[in-house]
Amino acid sequence: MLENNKKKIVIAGGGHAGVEAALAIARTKQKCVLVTMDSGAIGRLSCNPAIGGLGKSHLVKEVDALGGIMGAAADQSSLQMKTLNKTKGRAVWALRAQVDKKKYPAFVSKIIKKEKYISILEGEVLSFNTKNEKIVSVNLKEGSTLSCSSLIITSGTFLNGLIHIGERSFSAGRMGEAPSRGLSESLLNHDIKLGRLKTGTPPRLVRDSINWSVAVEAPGDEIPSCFSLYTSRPYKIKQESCFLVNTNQNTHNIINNNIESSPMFSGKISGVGPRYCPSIEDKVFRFSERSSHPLFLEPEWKNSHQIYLNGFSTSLSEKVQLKALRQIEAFKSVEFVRPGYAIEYDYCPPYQLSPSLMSKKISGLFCAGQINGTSGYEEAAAQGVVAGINASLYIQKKDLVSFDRQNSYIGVLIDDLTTSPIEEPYRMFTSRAENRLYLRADNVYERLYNSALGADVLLSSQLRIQKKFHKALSDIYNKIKKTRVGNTPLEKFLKRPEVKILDHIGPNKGSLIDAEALFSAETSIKYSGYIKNEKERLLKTRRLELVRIPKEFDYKKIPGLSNESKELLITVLPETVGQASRIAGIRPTDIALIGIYLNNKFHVKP
Amino acid sequence: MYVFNDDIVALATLPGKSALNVIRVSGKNVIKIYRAITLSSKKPRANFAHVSCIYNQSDKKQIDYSLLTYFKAPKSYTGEDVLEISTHGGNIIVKQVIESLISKGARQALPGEFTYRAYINGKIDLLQAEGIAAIVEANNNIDSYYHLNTINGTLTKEVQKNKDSLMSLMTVAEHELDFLDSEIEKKELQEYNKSLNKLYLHTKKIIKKSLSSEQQSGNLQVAIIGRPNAGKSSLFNLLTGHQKSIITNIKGTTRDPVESNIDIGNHEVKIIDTAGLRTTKDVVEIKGIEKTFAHIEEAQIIIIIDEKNASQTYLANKNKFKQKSVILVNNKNDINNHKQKNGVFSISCKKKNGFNSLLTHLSTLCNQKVDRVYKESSFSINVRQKSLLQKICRGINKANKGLETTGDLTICLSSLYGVLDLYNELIRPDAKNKIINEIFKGFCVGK
Repeated sequence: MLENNKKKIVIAGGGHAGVEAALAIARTKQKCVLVTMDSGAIGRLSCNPAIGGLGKSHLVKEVDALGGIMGAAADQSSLQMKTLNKTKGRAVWALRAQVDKKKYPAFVSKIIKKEKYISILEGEVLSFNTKNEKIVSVNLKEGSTLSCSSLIITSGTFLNGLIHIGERSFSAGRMGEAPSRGLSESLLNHDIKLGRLKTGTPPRLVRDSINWSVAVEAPGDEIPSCFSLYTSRPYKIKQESCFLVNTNQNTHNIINNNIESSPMFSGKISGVGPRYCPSIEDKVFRFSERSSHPLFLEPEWKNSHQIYLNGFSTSLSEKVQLKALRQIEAFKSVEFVRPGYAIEYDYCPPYQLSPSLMSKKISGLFCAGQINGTSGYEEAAAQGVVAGINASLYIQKKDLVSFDRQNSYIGVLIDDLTTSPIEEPYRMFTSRAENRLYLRADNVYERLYNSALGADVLLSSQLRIQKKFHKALSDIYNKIKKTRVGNTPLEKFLKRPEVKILDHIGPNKGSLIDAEALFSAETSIKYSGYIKNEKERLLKTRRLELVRIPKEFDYKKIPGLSNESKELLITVLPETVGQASRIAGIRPTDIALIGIYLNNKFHVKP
Repeated sequence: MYVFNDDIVALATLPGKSALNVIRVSGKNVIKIYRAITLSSKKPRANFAHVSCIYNQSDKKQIDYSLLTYFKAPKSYTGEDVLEISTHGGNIIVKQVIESLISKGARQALPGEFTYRAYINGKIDLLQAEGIAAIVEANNNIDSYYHLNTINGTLTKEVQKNKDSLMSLMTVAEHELDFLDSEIEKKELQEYNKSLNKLYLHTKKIIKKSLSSEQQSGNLQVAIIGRPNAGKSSLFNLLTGHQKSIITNIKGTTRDPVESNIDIGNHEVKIIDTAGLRTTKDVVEIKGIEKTFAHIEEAQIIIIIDEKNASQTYLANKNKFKQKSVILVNNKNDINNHKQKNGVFSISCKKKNGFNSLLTHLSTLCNQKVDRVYKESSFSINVRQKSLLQKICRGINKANKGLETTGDLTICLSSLYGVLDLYNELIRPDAKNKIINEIFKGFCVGK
């Protein structure tokens, strides 16, 4: 049936990137086939039972502003909501949801299966075929060929996956799931370079084997917030607590004594692991002065018998993991549902992609998620949306879009990926943005409104709610303009740190969106002076952003450019001078030389 | 705008009669050029002086017997292959040698082009380049000592040290925003305030330790002020040794300040003759008096001259002389009856009475003024550098205040990124930045 009904876009993988890509395509009324090895695993949370957190919650909000599902799914399956970094500036506040690992994928699956533009195919994409450097079809494992004009690879950790537990290692995608080998070969055959990365996951503990009385309770916020603007207010959930325990010197001693059984230390894992979410053996080894590290006990689903031990990601042998943990009072007789393990996988260095996430070599081929060297559900989802939007534009033969790093974390993410070499799995941090005070969660629906409209990815119900929010905002700004405090205009008065908008303008009764709009307006006004300075500072780089480098530009011909710089530029092939300036290893003087050459040969004035 | 792919040539010494001239060539084809002009098949040895004939390229006739030193890239002034040719003096030889170099593909260099290449190739930073520009312009060996410290990177090191500590503070702050409090050790806000304050003071200290251009010896200024007809212009002419200021008996003759540079003590000093101080309705004269006050502001030493009561003029304008060295002089002791007492000099410009003791005092004062500045300084800075350092001070202060009033680390960091940009502008600005071209344009050809 599939063969008769020629589908245009194939998505290989049903994780967070695949799901968001499929939805973005469906919203633009284009057809796609989501190929997954296990249709029961669509939208699965394969590692920690949480969505959001520092840096990442901004991405969840941006995905929401672009009509994505992650925020709404987290809201619907949340076991606990907590706003992190609340003692620091509002621009870095971050919402984190502990989610029910059963409810989350169920919610996502239901929506995907309802979409008439998405068909789900259980199977595996083994390879792809091209004609004139364009995607024409994919070959499936069961032997058939599926013609298509675009392929989005969202393979996660499955490409050549290799699991390590202590000295034991075996091929697998995730624990208990088969790896996929074919696509790696197909990519290599098409002259696309691959690299190796690794990531780890901590053990899952048997709930009843833990002595809960000595663990410290970590409850959620008293009044929970939610991610999605489309989640109905008031947002009410029944919250569960997480618990905190600390490692001790005995734990560290055991880890230190057995550190050579960890494949990371014996050199068995060739991939580079994440520095930001280090394994426990890494932490013990690198921060030897600390006598204790915090471990969080997180429920995997409501009343789950298994507990996720956040902070204890490891590839030590199961025996050592158990022994080290049993030194902690709460874990004296702890048992595993599953030990921690490390997984090593192929990734596709993303400098080979343009900012639309399409391959520079093969038209119609997109990559999104962990295959691009990122870590985390949120980073994957963000890329999924962009790949989906662009694959849809591609098959409609329209111009592809990219996201500006000065306007969104999605832009920061993709710009970083496509200009800098990946040395470890990439995780989002707010420090990666140059204008953090502007890239906030509270103004996300203003920042990305035009992109969402341009890509036409919002459901009519989503668009209605966004418009309502914008109306509330503009009403508030009008009120502010008309209000004075004494002789001072309210707008000016609000800039004083101690002044609160709610003391001067109340929300319309019954409208809960109003309270959020008030918060957003207040923050925008309080930060406005600083944001203006940030903008002025970035104006210089802004100009470089607009200078496009022609395709026929030959770096080899630039006099005075060092060979290393030439090589870097030829590998990355930046599309603008701004992008070139951010390539790691490129010096300001190189940019000057490029500018001179552009001016001389192409009469482009940087 | 400079280009980079060719070879450049220029006379590095002053044109005119001299014992020697040095011609400099830099580029990728220096070896080829060397072989051609010496008619030799051998490669020159790196960092080695070769004695050889230089031949005219058209008729292969000898031009000169010269010393050729070859510097192999990157160990050269420009970071490219460089050839320095010491020829015998005179314009004819230089002209012929340069002509043969040009016939072999080299191009006459633009002003500052050698140094610009050094900058582009990362041999020096901008502070150093500016130091080189200054040393070329320096009029005396004391200033050049300070320029040399700027060239050898002493100033860069100080600035870099400050930039590094700013960056490490920002890294800690970023870290704090990127991770949960339970994952890292947190710094108290007061600690940030303290570190920022320290950084502020350090930057102040760099400015204080620098010999800024207005302090350098050629810029020491002495203003002569006084009531009309007190003899300011006479004293000026006496000090400068020529009749530059018009002297009449009519009050208010000097309306525009007249200035001249002279050597007093070990230093070059600018002497300024100013318009007389009095209340007047003459618009032109009022303008002149306004200028006088501006000169008092700029000068480090003020000579107040009067027919008999210089102290009175001093007291009438006392608040204008804060932090200035003031010399009080009573003039016309040939007709008015006064003697030197209480540190007030008594002279006659007409008869040159008491002039020597005034001159000795002035020269001691000039030496002290300059020497103190020099003793406190370690390197020279120019106007651009000083104003950037001052901006950095203000930026740090603002960030610190922002943190104090809002307690918001993101706001503080946002200001600090602006400060970091200023540091970059100081040491190694974005190369397409206009100021770089301005700076290198100011060089002489051959540098």
